Amino acid sequence: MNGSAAVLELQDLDQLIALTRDPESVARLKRMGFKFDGTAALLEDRARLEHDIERRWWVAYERSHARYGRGLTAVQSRVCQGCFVTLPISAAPPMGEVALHQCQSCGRLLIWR
Amino acid sequence: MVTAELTPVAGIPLDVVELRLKRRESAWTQMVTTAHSIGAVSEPEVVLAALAHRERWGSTALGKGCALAGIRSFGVRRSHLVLGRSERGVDWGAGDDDLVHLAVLALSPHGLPDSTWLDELARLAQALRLQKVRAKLVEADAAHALALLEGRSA
Repeated sequence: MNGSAAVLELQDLDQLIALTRDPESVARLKRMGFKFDGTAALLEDRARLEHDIERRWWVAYERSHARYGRGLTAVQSRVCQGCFVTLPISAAPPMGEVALHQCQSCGRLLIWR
Repeated sequence: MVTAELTPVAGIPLDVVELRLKRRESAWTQMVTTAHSIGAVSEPEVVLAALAHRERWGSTALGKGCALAGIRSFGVRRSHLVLGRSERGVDWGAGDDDLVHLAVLALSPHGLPDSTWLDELARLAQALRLQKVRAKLVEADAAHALALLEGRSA
């Protein structure tokens, strides 16, 4: 898995961990018939991901997560979906590629594809 | 592989795949590859990782030979359902001896709100609880399977 994919995995995992901490959502899932083993395994997975992600992206992710409640934000049509500032064309990844980027306006870690 | 052309109530299309292998991870790969091939998934490896994390939290097997693996992921471009069927069963690692014969993979994009996502899962779980629905899903084509899972047909 490449660097950006690992950050995407981390954001998905954090969303799942947040869900596990919401008693109402967990109760709903249990009523559907699911059984749960606790979040220890997920936290282990998260710790493992720290080693798979380049240090600068890990730090940017954690900073965004602490400040805005989510670590990763999408770019749509060259606009940061966190602060809605238009990003420079020169920062865009080549067509068809996925790249991580840090918003110069709000500091959020962005996934640009 | 058959893709339903209908637009269901929830607007989520569905594919049906016949699962060839007996391992849960192989079944995931086959179903995610199907969703990737029609453009619903942009990063299959991210989606497979999300499935592995969801399973680590707790089994997605619901009993009675069914599993419902619902995930939200940045690797999903648009919501999509994949119904995997296996006559001989898939070892879902649920801790009991039950093999899974019907597996529903509910793929949703990352930003979908909890309430919307849980509503969708609840509807699918409710459909899978009905014996008559499970019996019909075994042979249903994609359009009929979608109607069954959406509760529009029984």
